[in-house]
Formats: sequence, C-alpha cells, structure tokens
Amino acid sequence: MVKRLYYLPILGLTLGVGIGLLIRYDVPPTYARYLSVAVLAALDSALGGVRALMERTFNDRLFISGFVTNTILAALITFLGDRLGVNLYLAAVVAFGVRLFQNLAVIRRLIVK
Amino acid sequence: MAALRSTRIGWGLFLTFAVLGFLLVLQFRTHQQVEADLASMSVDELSVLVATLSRESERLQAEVVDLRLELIGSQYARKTDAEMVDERRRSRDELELVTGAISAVGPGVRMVLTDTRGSLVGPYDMCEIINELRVAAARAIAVNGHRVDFNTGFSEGAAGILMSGRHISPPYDIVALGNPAELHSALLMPGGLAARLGSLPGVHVEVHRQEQLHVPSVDRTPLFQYATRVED
Repeated sequence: MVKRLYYLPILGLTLGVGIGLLIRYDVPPTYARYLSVAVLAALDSALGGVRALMERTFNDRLFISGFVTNTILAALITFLGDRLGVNLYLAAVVAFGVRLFQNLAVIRRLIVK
Repeated sequence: MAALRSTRIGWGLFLTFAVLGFLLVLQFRTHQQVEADLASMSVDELSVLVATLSRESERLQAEVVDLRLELIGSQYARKTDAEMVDERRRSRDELELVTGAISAVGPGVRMVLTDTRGSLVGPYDMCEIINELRVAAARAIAVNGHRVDFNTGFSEGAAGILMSGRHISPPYDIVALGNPAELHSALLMPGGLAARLGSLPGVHVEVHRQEQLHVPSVDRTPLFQYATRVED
C-alpha cells in the first residue's frame, strides 16, 4: 500500500508543473517576495509529509492543514515584516530552510536503511 | 476502512504535490521576471549594469565606424574607371553650380525692391538680404542680372550701390534658387527684412515664388593672385 503511495507525489508534482506551464499567469513583482517564502513553506511541508509517510506516521489531515496554513502564514509573516520594517522574511527563510534540510536528511537515512 | 483511508491519503498527497508543482513553476517564472526587472535592482547593480552597457555601446560604435570605413573602401575599390569619371564629372558640375561658373535654373523666389528716392536701400541692406537668403539655403543668387558668388561684396556708390565695383541702381531685382517656401518665409517673416525695408518711405518690396527662374553665371573670373592651391 505504502509503495503505491510513493508514486502519487511524483504524479501530482508532474500534473502541477504541467498546469503551471499551461496557465500563463504572472505574479506581479510586488508580490514576488511573498510567493517565494510561501513556496519555501510549501516545499518544507511537502517534504515533511514524505518523511512522515516513510516513517509510517503520516496523517493526511495534519499534512494538508499543515501545508495550507504554513504556506499562507509564511506569506503573511513576510507581509507583516514588510509593514513593520523588520525582516521577518529572513526568519521564515531560516526556519523553513533548516527544517527542509532536516527532513531531507531523515528521508535520505530512511532510503539508505 | 483501510482502503478508504489509503485512497484519502493518496488524493491528499496527489493534490498537495500538484499545488506544490504549480507554485514552484509560478515562482520560477516570477523570479525570472523579477531578475529582468530594472526597478527591482539596487543602485549598485544598476551602476554596474550601466557601466557594462556603456562599455559595450562604445565598443559597438567603434565597430560601426570601422565597418563603415571598410564599406567605403570596398565601394571605391569596386568602382570602374567609367564610374570614377562619372563621379568626377558630377562633382565638377556641382562645383560649377556652387561657384557660379555656369548659369543655373530652378525654382525659387524673386524679390523686387523699388526705391523711388534711390538712396534709402543701402549696401548693408543688400548684404542682409543675401545673408538671409543663404541662411534659408539659397543655392544661387543674382542681383539685377549679376551672379552673387563667393567674392561678391556690396559698397556705397555715388548713386546707389556698388556690387563688386559695378554700379547697380533700383529697382533691385533679386533672384534666388532654392526651396521656394523656405526662401519666401525667410524674407517675409513678421518683423523681418521685407517688413523693415517696406516701412521705409518710398520703398516697396515684392516677393514672389516661382517654379522656373534663371540665374546667370559669373561674368568675371576671379583672379587668385594671393591664394593658391595646397597640394596634398
């Protein structure tokens, strides 16, 4: 069952990329920063999901809610930082970046084992 | 129950990663756009960009000059003797027209200046008229049937004006070849020459555009007693 589930992220990613390439929607440069942090958060959540799946602790509700809220919150925090004049953007990048690497390390270990 | 859960997990993963893929593509594209956007660059980046582009522009301009020279060189090299003779002939004809060695015909303006008292229009006025016509790109000018060439000068005479030592008297008939509209407006501009001369008592100015005018050649060959040709 779990083996079959591993193909789904790849299929989903392919579909998403395909749709992204087909739909010519350009984000205004003003919002580019928010989008970049949101993408980082989404990437972190997605890798967290893969890790949980491999560790057999995957919870779909937790995963989807985490993905959505992390993505939106990351963009909101960046927006807030811009309004306050504090580079909260950097905090988000560091936090998600560190988690991203941790998740990757765990996934690597699980694969190698 | 387990199968249902598995399907739900599957769909969740699939959709989430689809959204991730979409976001990634969006971000890649936006980033490319932002990188190309000058407004998002810092002053340092912009100054480096300007310096680089200026250097490139200078280099390309130098290349353009080199290539033009090369092109001119190759055009000359390609020309046959007959073409060279033709070209020389053309430039000689042009020179003859400009210097007044031959008479000329063409469109232009005719200005008739009557001065019933015979003393109000002087050599300075004449110089001013000639100057005004030359500024308006007149290519050949004649006064009372005498060609105005590069040597012509006007001075005060006993009765009227001396044009290069030759006596001319009113009415002065000035013919100029060139763009009729430009010459006409140069002479008749508000507060200009014609207006000023016309306000003098007994002086009447008439300016007409004409499609076909004749300007004679110079009737005296200038003597180059002091100026001689510089050999290359």
